[in-house]
Amino acid sequence: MPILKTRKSGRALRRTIWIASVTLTALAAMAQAQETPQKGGTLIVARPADVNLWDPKFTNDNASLWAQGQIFSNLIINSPDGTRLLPSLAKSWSISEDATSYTFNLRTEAAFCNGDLITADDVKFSFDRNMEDDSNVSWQFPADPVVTVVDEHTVQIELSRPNVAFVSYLTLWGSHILSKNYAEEVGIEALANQPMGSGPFCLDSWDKGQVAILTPNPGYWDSEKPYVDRVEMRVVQDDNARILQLRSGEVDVALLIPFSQAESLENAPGLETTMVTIFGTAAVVPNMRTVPAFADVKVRQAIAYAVDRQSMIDAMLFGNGKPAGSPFYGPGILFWTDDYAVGFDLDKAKALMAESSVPDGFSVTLTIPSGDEMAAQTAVILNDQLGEIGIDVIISPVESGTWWSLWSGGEFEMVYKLGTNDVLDPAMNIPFDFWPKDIGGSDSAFSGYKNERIIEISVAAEGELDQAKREVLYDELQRIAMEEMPQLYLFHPSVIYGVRDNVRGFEVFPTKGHRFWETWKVQ
Amino acid sequence: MDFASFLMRRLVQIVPVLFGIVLVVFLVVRLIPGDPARIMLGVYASDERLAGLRTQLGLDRQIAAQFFSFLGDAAQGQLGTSLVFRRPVLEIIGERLPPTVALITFAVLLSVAICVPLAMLAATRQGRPPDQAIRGVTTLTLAMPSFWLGLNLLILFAVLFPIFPVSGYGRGFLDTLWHLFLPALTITLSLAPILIRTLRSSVIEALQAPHVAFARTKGLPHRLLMSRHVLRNGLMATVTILGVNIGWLLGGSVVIENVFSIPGLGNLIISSVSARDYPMIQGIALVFGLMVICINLITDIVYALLDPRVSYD
Repeated sequence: MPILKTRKSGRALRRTIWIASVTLTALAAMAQAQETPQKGGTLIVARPADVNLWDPKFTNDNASLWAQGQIFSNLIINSPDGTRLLPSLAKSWSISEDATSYTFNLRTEAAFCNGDLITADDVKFSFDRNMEDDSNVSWQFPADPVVTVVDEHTVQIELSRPNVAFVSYLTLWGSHILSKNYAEEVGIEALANQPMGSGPFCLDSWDKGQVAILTPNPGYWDSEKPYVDRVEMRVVQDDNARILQLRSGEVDVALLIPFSQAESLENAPGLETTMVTIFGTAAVVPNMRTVPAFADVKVRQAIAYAVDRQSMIDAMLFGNGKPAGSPFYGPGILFWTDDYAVGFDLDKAKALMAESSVPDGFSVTLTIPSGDEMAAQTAVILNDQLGEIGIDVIISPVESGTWWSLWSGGEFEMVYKLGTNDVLDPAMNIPFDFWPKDIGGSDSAFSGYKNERIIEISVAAEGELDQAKREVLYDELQRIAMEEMPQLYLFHPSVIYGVRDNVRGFEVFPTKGHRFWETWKVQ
Repeated sequence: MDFASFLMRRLVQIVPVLFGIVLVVFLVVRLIPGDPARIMLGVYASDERLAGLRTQLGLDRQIAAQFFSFLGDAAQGQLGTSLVFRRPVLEIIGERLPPTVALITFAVLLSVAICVPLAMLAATRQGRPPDQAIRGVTTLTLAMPSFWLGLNLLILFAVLFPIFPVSGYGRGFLDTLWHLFLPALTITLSLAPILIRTLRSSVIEALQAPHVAFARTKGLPHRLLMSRHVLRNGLMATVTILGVNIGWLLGGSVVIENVFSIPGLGNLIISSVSARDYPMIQGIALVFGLMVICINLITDIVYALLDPRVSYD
């Protein structure tokens, strides 16, 4: 079949380009890595917000979880390029054939900041605590895991149903290892305030709202790291102030630089800016329960064709983003493909509208969180572009807490969301995006959409250990989703960060996480 | 009525005012849509978990019951535990209050130190170049939004001429003064136009008063004339305006705190509202309310001290 053939060769070409670009990046990284890391020095980082608390159990904000990642270790960790899982506190692990039982062998030499060795009891304590009902991170433990201490350095986790994505979740902050003895000694409030690190760094002091100072953990299992003697995480809320500090050399690293400023920093002396496309998608969810027109697949398809994603990226993100061509959250996600991407085609969009149940168009309210610049700009562009096919978009900005409430309560017509995937595995967001509430989903992002085949595929893929078979399943899922358009997938935004030119090894990953223990300074 | 009973009566009046503030804040945060449990547990939480957390937080109880238990705790000095920080609200307010108070106090002192001499100069040289210059410049700074002004001061005095730090609050008295100078100056520059203009016009009015003309003809030295008869009369309106403005500054401090990364209360209340951290919002509103009441009280006292005609009743 010629069409299939074209598609295949298109995929092969893209894969070649992908491999080539990965190789180039790897070569560039190798060139940099040839410099031997130097020990010592203080790394000063300007961050837009302070840590709220150091207790992973109650954490759901980026500023806190990025900081916690520096002082706590997990059993396993993502490789820096994000393609593999590497040992961390667990030196090895095995998965049973039915993907329900996971056994982890812990390192014997890893210690907390107070010198206590990290044992299986600490792992059980940390996981059990974070799975409790009042935990903000219980969603990171799918399939009801039961943790058993086999011996001092062996932990076994049993799942109620097969879930091969489970190990991916173990790289998240919900699986940080805390000290059981310390927690029992100091109590819960102290965990929020004075954490006992299990990772590369220890919290030395915390001047709330201003600066948190980290020093290396002498008991960290990798004796080579961290390279720096000290990290100062400064709170610099204002975007412009953060840039000023980077320019003046007052800080070594500035996180989250606004798109509008990135260009002005490009030629600034003594510093480098880098753009990373995140595992995240800006999308609009149509509510099929409140707007009958959205239940018509032709209307959803028409909208998908009517939107010029690249022009959106150029106008809002100054080109720093990628059009979304899959329900999965970006090109780095496992099994992602944009083979079924929908391009901008106004004629096709108009034709689809004419064939639909609402050929004369209709009026719809788009709810967005106020104060979110990207949401506001997206809404304005959508208003313009959907106007071309007779859909009158009324923009309704509401305070972010209200936005949450309206969205999750199903009290919306269309809602803007920026969803992120914190792990490599696409399985993380599938229940949220595609499953009804009775099987643990969210009514397909509260839209009322339901497709039995997608549910069947995703359940099968969760229990499928054979990666090739998983790929086939997820390929079909992406194809159906791009035909049915339960959400209007728009673009994957980027984040931009800046470092001084004597800083090496600092990188922000597509999950927006970063590792100060891999970073060093040319003295 | 003597001063002590005046003070006592004013203190007693605080109670119903505070009750009103607490009631309004309590109702408003619950009337706006937004569920703390949903915000805490995130998008992936199931309905059962949400319901469980609401029960645990006491959010499924009747509003009246919630209000009275909050009131009872507040009366005993208990403001609850923050849903975001997982620490006592009072402890967090205790950490965040000093920067805000220090900033506002510094700004007010700086404003007085700058505005009083300038207003006197403008008033005594009415219509002449110094007056024109002062009025012109203050009109200009009145038109500048404070975040813009703050950023420009930052670029000028922290980046191009690195005299002051770019952000933060500092440790110790002198370090704090050094850190807070630019933010305080930003506030001063936005406050100055109002202060200088009112003070200038009331000084001009006082200068034309018969008792001033009389004092001048009897040969009172210029300095004494100005301080005893002109300034004292002229300050009355300024004190009132300053009092009102400090109350307003408390609310407005959020912008300055944000630009200069000062870890104060203004900063905290915004994030607490977004997170629907009810105990935190209620606590901060209570503290802000108390502060405004205290400032009004102080204004009244200063007023009475300045003007013997004002009696304590």
